[in-house]
Amino acid sequence: MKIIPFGKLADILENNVVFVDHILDTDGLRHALEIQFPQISHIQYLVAVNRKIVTENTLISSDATIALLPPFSGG
Amino acid sequence: MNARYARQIVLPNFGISAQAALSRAKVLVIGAGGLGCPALQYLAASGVGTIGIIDHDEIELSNLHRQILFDESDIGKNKAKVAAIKLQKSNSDLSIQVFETKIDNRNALGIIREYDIVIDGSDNFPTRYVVNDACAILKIPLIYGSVFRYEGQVSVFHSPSHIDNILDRAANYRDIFPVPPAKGEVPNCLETGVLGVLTGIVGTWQASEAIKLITGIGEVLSSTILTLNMLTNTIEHFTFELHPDALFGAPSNENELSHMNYDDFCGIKSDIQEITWKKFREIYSTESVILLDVRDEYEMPKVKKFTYKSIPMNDLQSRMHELDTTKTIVVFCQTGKRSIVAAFDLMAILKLQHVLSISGGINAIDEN
Repeated sequence: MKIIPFGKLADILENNVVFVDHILDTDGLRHALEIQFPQISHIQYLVAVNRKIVTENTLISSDATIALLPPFSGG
Repeated sequence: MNARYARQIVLPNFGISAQAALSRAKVLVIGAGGLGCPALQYLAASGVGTIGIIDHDEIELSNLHRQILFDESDIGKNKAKVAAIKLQKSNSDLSIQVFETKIDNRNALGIIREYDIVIDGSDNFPTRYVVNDACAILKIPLIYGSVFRYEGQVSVFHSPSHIDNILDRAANYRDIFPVPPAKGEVPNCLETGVLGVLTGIVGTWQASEAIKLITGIGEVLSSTILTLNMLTNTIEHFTFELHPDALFGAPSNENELSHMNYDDFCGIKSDIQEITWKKFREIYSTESVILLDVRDEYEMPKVKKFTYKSIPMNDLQSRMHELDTTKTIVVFCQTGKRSIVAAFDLMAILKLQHVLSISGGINAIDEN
């Protein structure tokens, strides 16, 4: 599994190994991220599995690319 | 007309008919800032017939690194007004409408309904939500663009050629972000910085989507967010589906929109009152007040002249019950930022009518 964080999430995950062993789905991923990076629990973000944004719990295959996308407001 | 636009009329699938469609088009640009300026410049140059510009802000020196439509002599002048003068010089055929105001729930529908397409170049969530909701109700396509440091996002919402048969609507900003983030969760350009080139690229990309929508060429980014990262040279597309529950918190008609408080909705309580230390001194001598320090224990200096209670921000939720809510609560911190958030939390959780915050925090205290 490859994780690509965007925006502020890139700051938080940067230079950190994200432990994603045994993660089967997107709910499990959100939970694992919150345990490893507690500050993430206060941040709203979208999860995309293989470039498809998912709003319901979705299975993650071992070779999937996961993107974490927070909203931006700057202009 | 043909000589001016010859290089685009000659393009495959463009021609005289696309140029005529541009000249008939009416595009509204929300915000003549980092995104709005480049979008405006390319729209004006391409021959869009009518352009509306809405911005209440004045040009500042710190805008010039990215808002390159403006120059030093424009500092202090209204952005929409100056942009209109410059664009008119670049294309005298153009009809320009200027709105020197802030778009909000009361004026959004009246302004937006006169246009065919809206480009959102705003810099805050309340504006983004009100513009999205107004465009949804009026079924006017919205070209969204936003930036964060070296990253940008672009998408097209409410595209009339991408209506879902079952939901009877096209992709909406709320399909991906049904509720706004909490205040302070997403820093703005002022706090985090932004590379001028990035807003130029994202704003230009928005203009490109507008031209495609007007002329019918190519594919627009409906149900897709395009992201770009200047540092890694990565451009990616993320697709999304329309969500049946996405519009749960959204106004469903014009009347509901005009009564919706977007500042409240976006967690920015518009009625949090900020006061100076001088004003506090007056209140302190006449009313029963609690002065609340939400700084951490180690933060200096401590207040000497007034009795105060200390609850660090991180403990506020668990220790709120210690406060006597029959008294007026006045919150302060080091700079006046945390105290606004604290005041908002106290009002929301303790259901208080008003909590005051001291502007500038302890840094603004006058010991005399």
